[in-house]
Amino acid sequence: MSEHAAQNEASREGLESFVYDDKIVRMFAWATIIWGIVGFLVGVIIAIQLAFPDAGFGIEYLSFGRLRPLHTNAAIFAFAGNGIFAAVYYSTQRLCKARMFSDLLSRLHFWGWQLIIVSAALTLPLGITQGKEYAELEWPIDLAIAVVWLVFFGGNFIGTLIKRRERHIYVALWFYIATIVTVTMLHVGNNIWLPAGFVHLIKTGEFAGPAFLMKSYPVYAGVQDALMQWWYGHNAVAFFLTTPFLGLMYYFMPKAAERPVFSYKLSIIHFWSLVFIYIWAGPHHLHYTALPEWASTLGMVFSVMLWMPSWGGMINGLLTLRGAWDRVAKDPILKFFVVGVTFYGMSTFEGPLLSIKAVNSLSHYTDWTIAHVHSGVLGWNGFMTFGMLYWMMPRLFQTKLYSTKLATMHFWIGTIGMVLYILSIYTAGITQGLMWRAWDETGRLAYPDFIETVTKLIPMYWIRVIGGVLYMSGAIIALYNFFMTWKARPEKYEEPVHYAAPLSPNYEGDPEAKSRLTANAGFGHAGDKFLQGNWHRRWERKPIRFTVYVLVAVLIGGAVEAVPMFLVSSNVPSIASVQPYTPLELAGRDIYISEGCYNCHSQMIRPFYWETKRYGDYSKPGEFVYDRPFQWGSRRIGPDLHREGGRKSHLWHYEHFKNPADTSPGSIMPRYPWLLSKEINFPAIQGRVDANAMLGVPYGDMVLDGAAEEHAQFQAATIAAELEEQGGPPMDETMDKQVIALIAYLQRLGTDLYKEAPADAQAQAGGDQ
Amino acid sequence: MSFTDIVSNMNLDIYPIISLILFLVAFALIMWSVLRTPKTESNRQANIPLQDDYDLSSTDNMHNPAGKGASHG
Ligand code: HEC
Repeated sequence: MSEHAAQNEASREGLESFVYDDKIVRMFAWATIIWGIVGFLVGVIIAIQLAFPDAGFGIEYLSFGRLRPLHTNAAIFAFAGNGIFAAVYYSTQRLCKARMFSDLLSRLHFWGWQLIIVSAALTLPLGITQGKEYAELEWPIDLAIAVVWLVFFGGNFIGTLIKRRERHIYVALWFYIATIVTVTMLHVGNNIWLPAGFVHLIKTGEFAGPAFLMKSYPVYAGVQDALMQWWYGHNAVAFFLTTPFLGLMYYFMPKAAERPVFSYKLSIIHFWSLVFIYIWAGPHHLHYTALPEWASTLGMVFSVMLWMPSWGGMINGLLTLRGAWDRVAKDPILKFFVVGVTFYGMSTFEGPLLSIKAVNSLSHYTDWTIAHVHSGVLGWNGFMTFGMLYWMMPRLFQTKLYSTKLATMHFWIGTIGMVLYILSIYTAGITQGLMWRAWDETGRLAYPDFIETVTKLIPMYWIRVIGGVLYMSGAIIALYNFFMTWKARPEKYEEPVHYAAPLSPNYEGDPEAKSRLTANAGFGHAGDKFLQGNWHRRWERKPIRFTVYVLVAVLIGGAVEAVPMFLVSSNVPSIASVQPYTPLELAGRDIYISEGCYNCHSQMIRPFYWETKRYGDYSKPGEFVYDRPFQWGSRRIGPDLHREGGRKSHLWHYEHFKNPADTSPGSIMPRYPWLLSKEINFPAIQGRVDANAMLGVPYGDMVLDGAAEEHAQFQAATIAAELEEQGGPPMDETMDKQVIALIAYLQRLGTDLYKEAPADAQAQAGGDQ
Repeated sequence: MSFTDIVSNMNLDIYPIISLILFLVAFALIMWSVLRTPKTESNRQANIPLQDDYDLSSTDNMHNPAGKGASHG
C-alpha cells in the first residue's frame, strides 16, 4: 500500500497537478434543465393559442406574436445554449487535461449569459424586438452577447486550449472551435444596425421613451437584409444547433458506450465537410422569393451536398455503439443518444429535401417547416442534451442517479410526445400546402377563403399540444430526478487531483516529411512532402492557426453569398414608383414589427399561379428597398399581406384588430384590444424618420425639426376621419391611437407598384442605374 | 469608374463556380491528408476521451516516432 504510494510519488516527478472545475459545469447543467422547461412551457402556451386563440386573454404580453420569439430564443439560446456550455466546460477540461483557463471568465460567462436570457424574457413580451427571426434581441443585448460569447466564453476556451497538456486536439474540440468562431461572425454580421432611439437622444437631447431607446434599424434593407438574415438564421442552425452537439456526441457517446468512436478519420472528414458546406446553404430559405436565381440555386446544390457528410456523422455515431447494443436496452442514456443521433440523421435528410425547389414550393410557409425544426431541436438537440445530463449529473454530484426507472420513463414520454408533435404537424403542413395550391378546372382556387385552410388544422394543433405537454413532462421528471440525485450528494465534493506532463515547448512531433524522391527538382520534393500529409497533423495541434483556417473556410462561403448582393446594384432593380413610407406608416410598420405580426404573416408573394390568384401580383425585389428590417416572414399562419393595401376598409381592419373572430369567424389571429387604446408615440416619429434618412432613405424635408411628427399627425387625423365616415368611432377618439398607424401601414402595403412615379423619383431611379 | 461598376460588369455566373472549385480542391487535400494518417495514430486520438480521467496519462511522449504504436488505455 505505502510502497504503492511511494511508487506513484516517484512516477509523478516532472508532472503538473490540476483540478477540474466541475462547479461551473453543475451551474450550466442546472441552467440547462430549468430554462429548458421554461422554453417548453412557453411553447405549450403558444401551441394552445393556435388551437384556442383566446388563450392569450387579450393580454398584450401574452400574445402569440410576442411569445413565439421568446419560445424560440429560450429553446435555442437558453436550453440548447446552456447545454452546449455544460458539455464544453466538462469535456474541454478533460480533453485538454487542464482546468479552464480562468475561473473568473467562467463565472462571468455563466452569469452574463443568464442575464442575457433574463433580459430576453423581459424585452420580448414588451414588444422590444428587431423583428428578425432568432435575432430578435435589440442592440444593447446584442452587444452583451458579443462580449459574453467572444470575450468571456471564446477567450476562456482558447486560453484553455493553449495551456492544454494533451498534444492532439480531439475532434470534439474542433467542433467547439468552429462554433465559437462562426457564431461570432454570424452574430456580428447580422446585427449591424443604427440604434435609432439612442442616436435621437444624443442628437436632440430628447428622450422618447425606453422602448424607443432600444429601437434600432438594420443598415441592410429589403433583399439584402433578407439574405443576411437567412445566412445568419441557417448557419445558426449549423453552428449553434449542429456543430457543438456533434462535439458533444463525439465526446459523450464514446464515454457512455465505453468505447472509442467508430472511425476517427470519418469524424475529421465529417468536420471539414460541414464547415465547408453548411455556410453556403443559407439561400434555401428564400426560394421563389425576390432573391436572384443563382443565389438560390447555389443554396440548393450545397444543401443537397450536405446530406452526405451528415449521414456519415450519423453512421459514425451509431456505429460507436457496436457491440454495446445489448446495453441500449437497459441504459436510458444510450437510448437518448441513439434516438438523438437518429433524429440528426432524419433532420439532415429532410433539410436537403426541403431545399429542393419543387418540394420547397409546397412546404414553405407551412407547418412542414415547423415539424422539421422540432424533429431537429426536440429529437437531436433535446435528446442529446438529456443523454448528456443523465450521464453527467451523477458524476457531477458524485453519487448515483436517483432513479434509472424515471430516466427511462422520461425517455419514453419524451419520445411519444415528440412523435405526436411531429406527425400531427407534418400532416397539418402538407394538408395546408395542398389546400393553398388546389384549383379547379376553371382556374379558380378550390379554397379561396384562407380561413378554410386554417380551421382544417385545428385538430392537428390539439394533438401537438398533447405532444408538447408530454415532452415537457419528461423534462420535469428529469428535473425531479436531478434534484433527488443532488440531494444525495456528499457533504463536500471530492476534488481529485490529476497529474500530467506539460507540453514541451520544443516538441517536434511528426518530423517534417523527407522527400522520398531521389532525382527531382525542388517542386517535386515539395509535392512529395505535401503528399505525405503530415501538414494537417501539424496544424491540427496549433489552436490559433487552426481557428484561423476555420474562419477562412466559413468566410469564403459567406462572401460568395453576400458580396455580390452588396456590390451589384442591378440585383435589385429600382422601381421608380416605390417611395419611402410616410412617417405615420413607418411608425405603423414599427408596431407591426414589435407585435411580431411576421410570426404569422408573410409579405412575399411567390410567382406561382395559385399565389398570385390569391394575393395579387408576385413580389418584386425593388419593392422592398425601404424595408428595414425586411418582413417576408417564414410561416403563413395567416394570409400573405404584401398586397394588403386597399383590400379592406379601415373599418374592417379596426373591427378585425378588436376581435378577429367578428370579421373572420374561426380566425385564430389573437385579439389586439390594446392597439385601440394605446397612444402613438408621436415624439419618437421624428427619430424614426431621421434614422432612416441617415441610412439613405430619401426623406427630404421630412428630417427638418418636427416636420415628420407634424406630417404624421395630419395623416392620422385623415385616416381617423375616414374611419369615422365608414361607420367607425368618432375621429377624436381614434386619431392618436396605435391602430391608426398600423392601418396606415397596412393600407400602403404593396400599392406603390401600381402608382404613377413622381417626376423627380423617375429621374432619380434612372440615375441610379 | 467605381469598384461597384467593375464588379457589376463582371460575369457573376462564374463566381460561384470558382468558389466551388476552390472548395473542392481544399476538401480533396484535407481528405488526402486524413486518409494518410497512420492507423495507430488515429486509434490513439480516438481513445483520448476514454483516458481523460487517468491521472498519469501524459501522452506527450507517445508522439515521438519511437513511441508510435505503443498501446495505452
Ligand atoms: C397567431 C397568428 C396571427 C398573428 C400573430 C397575427 N395574425 Fe393576422 N391573421 C391571422 C389569421 C389566421 C388570419 C386569417 C383570418 C382572419 O382574417 O382573421 C389573419 C388575417 C389578417 C388580416 C386580414 C388579411 C386579409 O386580407 O384577409 C390582416 C390585415 C392581419 N391579419 C393583420 C395582422 C397584423 C397587423 C398583425 C399584428 C398586429 C397580425 N395580423 C397578427 C393570424 C395572425
